Amino acid sequence: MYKYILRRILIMIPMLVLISIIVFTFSKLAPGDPFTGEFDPRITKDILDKKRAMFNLYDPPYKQYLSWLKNVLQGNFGVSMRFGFPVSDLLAERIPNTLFLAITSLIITLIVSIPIGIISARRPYSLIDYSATTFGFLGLATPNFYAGLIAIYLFSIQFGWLPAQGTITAGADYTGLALFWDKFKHVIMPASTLGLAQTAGYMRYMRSEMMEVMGKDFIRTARSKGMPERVILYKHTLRNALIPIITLLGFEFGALVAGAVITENVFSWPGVGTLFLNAVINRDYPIIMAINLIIATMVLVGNLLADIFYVIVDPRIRYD
Amino acid sequence: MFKKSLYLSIVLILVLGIALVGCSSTTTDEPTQPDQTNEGTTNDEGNKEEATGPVEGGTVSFAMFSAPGGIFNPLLYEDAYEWNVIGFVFEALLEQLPDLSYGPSLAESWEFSEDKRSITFKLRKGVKWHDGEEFTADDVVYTYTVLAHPDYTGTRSYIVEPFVGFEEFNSGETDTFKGVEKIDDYTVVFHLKEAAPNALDNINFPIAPEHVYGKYEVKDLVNAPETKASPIGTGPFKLDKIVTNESYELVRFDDYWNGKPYLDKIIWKVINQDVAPGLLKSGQLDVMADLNPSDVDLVKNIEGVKIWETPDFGYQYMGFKFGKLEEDGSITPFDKVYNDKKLRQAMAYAINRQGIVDGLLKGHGTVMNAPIPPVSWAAASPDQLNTYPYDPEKAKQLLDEAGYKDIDGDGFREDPNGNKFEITLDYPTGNKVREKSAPIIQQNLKEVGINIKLNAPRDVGSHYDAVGNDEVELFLAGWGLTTDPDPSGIWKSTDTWNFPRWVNEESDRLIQEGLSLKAFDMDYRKDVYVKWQQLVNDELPYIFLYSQNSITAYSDRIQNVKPDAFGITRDIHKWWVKQ
Amino acid sequence: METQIDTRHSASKSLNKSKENTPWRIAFRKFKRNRMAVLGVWVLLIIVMIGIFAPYLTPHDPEYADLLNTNGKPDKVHWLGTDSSGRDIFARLLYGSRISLIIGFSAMLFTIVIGTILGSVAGYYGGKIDNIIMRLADIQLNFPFLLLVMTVVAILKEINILIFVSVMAFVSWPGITRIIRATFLSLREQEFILSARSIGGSDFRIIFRHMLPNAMGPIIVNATLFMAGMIISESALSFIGFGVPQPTPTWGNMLTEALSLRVLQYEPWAWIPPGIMIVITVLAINFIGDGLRDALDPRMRKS
Repeated sequence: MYKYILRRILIMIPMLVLISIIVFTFSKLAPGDPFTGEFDPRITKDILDKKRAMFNLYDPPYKQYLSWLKNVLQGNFGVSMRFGFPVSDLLAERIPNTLFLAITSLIITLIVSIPIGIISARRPYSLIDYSATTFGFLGLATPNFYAGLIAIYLFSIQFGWLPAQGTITAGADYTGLALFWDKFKHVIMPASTLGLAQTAGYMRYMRSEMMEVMGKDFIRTARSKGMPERVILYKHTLRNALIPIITLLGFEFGALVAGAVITENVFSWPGVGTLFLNAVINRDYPIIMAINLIIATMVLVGNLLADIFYVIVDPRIRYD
Repeated sequence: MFKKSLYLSIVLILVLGIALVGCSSTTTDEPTQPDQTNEGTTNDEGNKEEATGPVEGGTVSFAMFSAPGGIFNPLLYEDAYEWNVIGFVFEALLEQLPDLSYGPSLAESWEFSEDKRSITFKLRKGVKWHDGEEFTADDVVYTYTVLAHPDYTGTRSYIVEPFVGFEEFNSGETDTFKGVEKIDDYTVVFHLKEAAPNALDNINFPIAPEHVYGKYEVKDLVNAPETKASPIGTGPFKLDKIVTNESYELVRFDDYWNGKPYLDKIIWKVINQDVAPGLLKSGQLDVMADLNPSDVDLVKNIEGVKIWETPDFGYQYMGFKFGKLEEDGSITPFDKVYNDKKLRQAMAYAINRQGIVDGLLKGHGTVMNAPIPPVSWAAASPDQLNTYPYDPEKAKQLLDEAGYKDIDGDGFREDPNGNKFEITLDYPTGNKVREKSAPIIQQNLKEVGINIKLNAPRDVGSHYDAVGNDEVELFLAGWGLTTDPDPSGIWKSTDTWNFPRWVNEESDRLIQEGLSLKAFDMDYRKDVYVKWQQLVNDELPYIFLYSQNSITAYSDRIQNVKPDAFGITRDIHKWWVKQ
Repeated sequence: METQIDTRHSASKSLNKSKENTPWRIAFRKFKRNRMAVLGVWVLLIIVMIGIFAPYLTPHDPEYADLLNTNGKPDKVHWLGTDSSGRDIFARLLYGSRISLIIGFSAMLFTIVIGTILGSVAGYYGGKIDNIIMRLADIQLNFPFLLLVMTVVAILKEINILIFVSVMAFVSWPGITRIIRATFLSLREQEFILSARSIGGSDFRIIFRHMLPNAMGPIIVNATLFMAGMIISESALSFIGFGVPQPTPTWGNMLTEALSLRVLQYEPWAWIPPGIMIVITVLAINFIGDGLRDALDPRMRKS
C-alpha cells in the first residue's frame, strides 16, 4: 500500500512537468501577448517593445520555459505581465475564495444528495422519491449558469433575500458570527448552482446504489437474521453505496474548481476561475501556468486520495 | 476632477468576453451648462436640494464591471478600473472643464512663453497630501521625472516625450531631466521640444507625492505598499479599505483644498454588468456608469433613478487592409479588390449603419462619417461630408457603374475583370454590440451582391495581433479618443496604429498642419481638420460605423450632481445624500 | 462537463454472452416496457423531426437580422418575437435543434470512438500500454479547455461545428476511456475470452468479435448520457463566449440573450423556449439512457 502511494506520488512529478510543457506550448501558440490587446495610440511600439523585453518575451520559447521551470522549482511563480505583481500574491488572494466556494458546494451536494438518495431508495415510488427523481432529472438537464441567473433573479432581485454578488458585504465591518453569516449568505447561491448537477447526479447514484446493495445477498442474509433495519442501512448498505461516490469526488473536485469559471462569472465571485479566464485572454502565461499547475496537482492528489479512501472503505480492494 | 480618459485612449480589457472599451473620453458641445444641476438628464425631475441644504455623512456606492488590476499608483496604473478607484485620490495640475478647455486645479495659473515652447505653472499653496505633508513643486518634478526615467516600468512615457531632454535622460546619458524645471517651491516650468496647440492635453498628468514614492527605486515602485494598497494623493477621498476584487472603499479627506467633502464614504463595488441594474433597483447601488443601451428603458423606469447620457469620443469602424508594414517601416501595398475607392463607397451605402444604431444600440449612439466624432469642436458638420445614407439601390448602381457585375448568376458580383471575389471580415469577441454587427454587415453586403466571408470572432489579443501584423482584409475595431482632435498616432501613414496601412500624402500634410504654430488659432485648426475629415470621408480607408453614447444611471438620493460631458463625478466633494 | 459515468455498473457486463441474438432481444423487450424511456424516444424523435423539417415549419431565415425589429414581442409574424439582432426566435429555436443535436451527437460519437479505442487497448493489453494511456488521461483531465479552444480558434480563424466538436471530444475522452477500460479489464479474465485466446484468436479479432460486443451495453448507456452532457456543455461554452458564434443558431448561443436581467424579466419568450428545449432534450436523452441501462444491465431490476 505505502509502496503504491509512493509510486503514484513519484509518477506525479514527470506528469506535472509534461502538463506544464503542454500548457506552455499552447499559451505560446496562441497569437498575441499581454501587450497586444492594449494600446493607446500614444503608447508607441517602442514602449511596448521595452515591456516585452522586460518579460523576456523575445527569448526563444524553450528558454522562457526553462527559466519558468527553474523559478518554480525555487518556489517562485514569477510575475504577472498584466499586473506586474508576483503571481503568488494574486493566487493568495483568489485561492481561498475558490476553495471556499468549491468546498461549500461539495458540502451542500453531499448534505442534500445522500439523505435524499437514501430516502428515495428506501421508499421507492413514493411521493418523495418521485419529487427527488424529478429534481434529479431537472438538475442534470439544466445548465448551471442558467440556474444561477434564475436564482439571482428570484432570490436577489425579486425577494431580496440573498446578495447577488461578491463574497462579503462591501463596506460592512462584520466580525465573529455576523461575519460568518454574511459570508454564508453570499456563498449559498453560487455554491448551490455550482453543485446543482453534481447534487442531482449523486442523488440518483445514491438511490440506485442503495437499491442495488439492498438487493444483494448479504443484506438479505442480514435481514433474515433479524438485524435491525437501521444497522443494515448504515452499517452495510450505506458503506457499500458510498464507494462510487468517493471515487467520483476525487475526480470531480478538480472539475468543480475548473467549472467554477462560469459560476464565478455569474456571481462576480473573485476566484481562481475568473483570474484564469482573464489570464488566458491576456496571454498572461505566468498566471496560466501557475493555476494550471495547482489545479493539476489538486486533481492528481484528489485521484490518489480517492483511491486510498477506496481501500479504507472497501477492504476487499488492495493495491500492490 | 481629473479624468482617466485623458491618458488612456483605448484600453481593451476583457472580462469573460465582455470587452469594455475602457476610458472613453467624452465631451460635447451640446448646451450643457454646468451650473444648472441635473438639467439634461433624460428623466427630468425637480431638484429639491435647495429646500434642505447639504448634510454631511452618508455613503455612495459605484459599480464597476471588472476588478481593477491592483496598481493604485497614478504613475503606473494600467486599466480604467484602477483609475476608477484612484480618480478621486489623485489630481493633476489642470482640470479639464466641460467645454474641453483647461481650468486650474493643483496649478492656480499657467502661462505660455512667447515661442509657446515653455509653460510656467504657478502651483496652489496650502494643498495637503493625505498624510498631511504640503504639496510643492518637488512633487511635480518628481512625477514627470519618473515618467522619463530609464527604469520606469509603466507605459506612460509618451507624456514626457515632448519634453526637452527626454531622450538624453531616458537613455541614461544625463542624470537629470531638463524638461521640468523647479523655479521655487510653487513655480515649475515645462520645456517642450516643439510648440503644439494641444500641449496641455499632452502633458496634463496626475501628480504623485515625492515624499511617499521617492523613497523607492523607480524600478521597484510597482511593488511598493503605497502602490498596492495605500496611495497618498491630494484628492477629496482617501483609499481606505480594499477587499481585493470585490470592493474598494474611499473615505473623506477632511483637509481637501477645495473644501471638505460632505460624503463620508464612496464604495466601488465590482459587479456583473448584467446584474447591476437589478441592484440599482434594490438600492444596493447608487451609481452605474456604462449602462448597456438596451437596459436604458428598464433602468429609466426604476423609481428614484436618473439617467445621464452623453455622446462619446470613441467609435467603432470597419477597416480595410491596404498593405503590410515592413520591419524597416515601409509599407508594401496589397493588391486587393477593395483598393478601388468606388467599391468602398458602395459598401458604405450598403451597410445599414443607422439600423445598427437603432436596432443594436436602441438609438443610443450616432452614425459616424469621419474620424472626429460629431461631439468634438473640430468635427465637420454633416453637410460638409458625404453621409453615405443606407441605400442598397444606390450601392448596386455604383457597383454596376464601376463594373462589378454578377456574370455567372450566383448572386455575387464579379470584379470588373470578371473574376470572382470574396472579402474576409475578422472581428473580435468582447464588445457585444460590435460582435452582433459583424453578421449584419455581412448580410447587408450580401444583399448588394458582395461576398463577405466571416471569420470566427477571436479574442481581442489574437484579433489585434492579426490586425497589427497585417494578416487580415476587413476588420472591425474601435478607438476611444482623447478630447483633442489631433489624429497623429492613428492616422499618419507611418504610425504603428495606422492599421489600414493607408498612405496618403495630403492626409499626412494636413495632420502636420493641424499642429503647426498657425494652428494655435482654433478656427484655423478646425479648418484644417475639416479638410482632413473630408479627405478621409471620401477615401474611406475605414467605413465608420457608429459612436456609442456613454450612459450613467444614478440614484436621486445623491444631491448636487453636476453631469457633464465627462460623466457625473465632477466636484464630487460637493455631493451629499439625503439622510 | 456533467456526464454520468457509471464505472461500477459497466465494470461487470457480460454475464450473459453465449447466445448471439437473444440478450439484445430481451433488452429490447425490457426497454419497450419502460414507459419513460419510450416517451424519451418519441420526444427525441419529434425534436429530430423538427430539426429536419425546420424549413417547412417556418418561413423565416434564422440568420436573417431585421434591424427594424430587434427585441420584438411575439406577434403573428414572429411567434416568439425577435432577438436582440432582430432574428426570428421561433425559427432559431427550430433550426437550433439541428445544430444542438448535431453537436451533441457528433461530439458524443467522436468521444466514444476515441474512448473506445483507447479504453479497449488499455483494458485488453494492460501493463505498460494501460499505464501510458491512463496517465495520458490524467494529463488530459488537467488540460485547460478554454485555453485549447481559444488557441484553436486563434490559429484556425474559424470555429465551425466540426472543429468545435473535435475539440470537445479531444478533451472529453478520458471519462469514457476509463469506463471501457474497466469493462475490458473484467472481461479479459472471463472464460470465453481466455478460451478464445487459447485457440489462437488474434488480438484484433478478440477485441472486435468477442469483447467489444459484450461491452456494448455500457458503451451505449454512457453514450446517451454523454450526448446529454455535450448539449449542456455547448450552452455553457456559448455563455462564456467560447461556443459556436452567431449567426448560426444553437440553443446555447440563444440563451446568451438571457445574460441581461432585462431580458430575464421582461422578455421571457427570448430565453425560456431555448432553455426548455435544452432541458426537454436532455431529459429525453437521459430517460433513454436510463431505460437502456435497465434493459442492458441484468443486475438492475425494478423491484
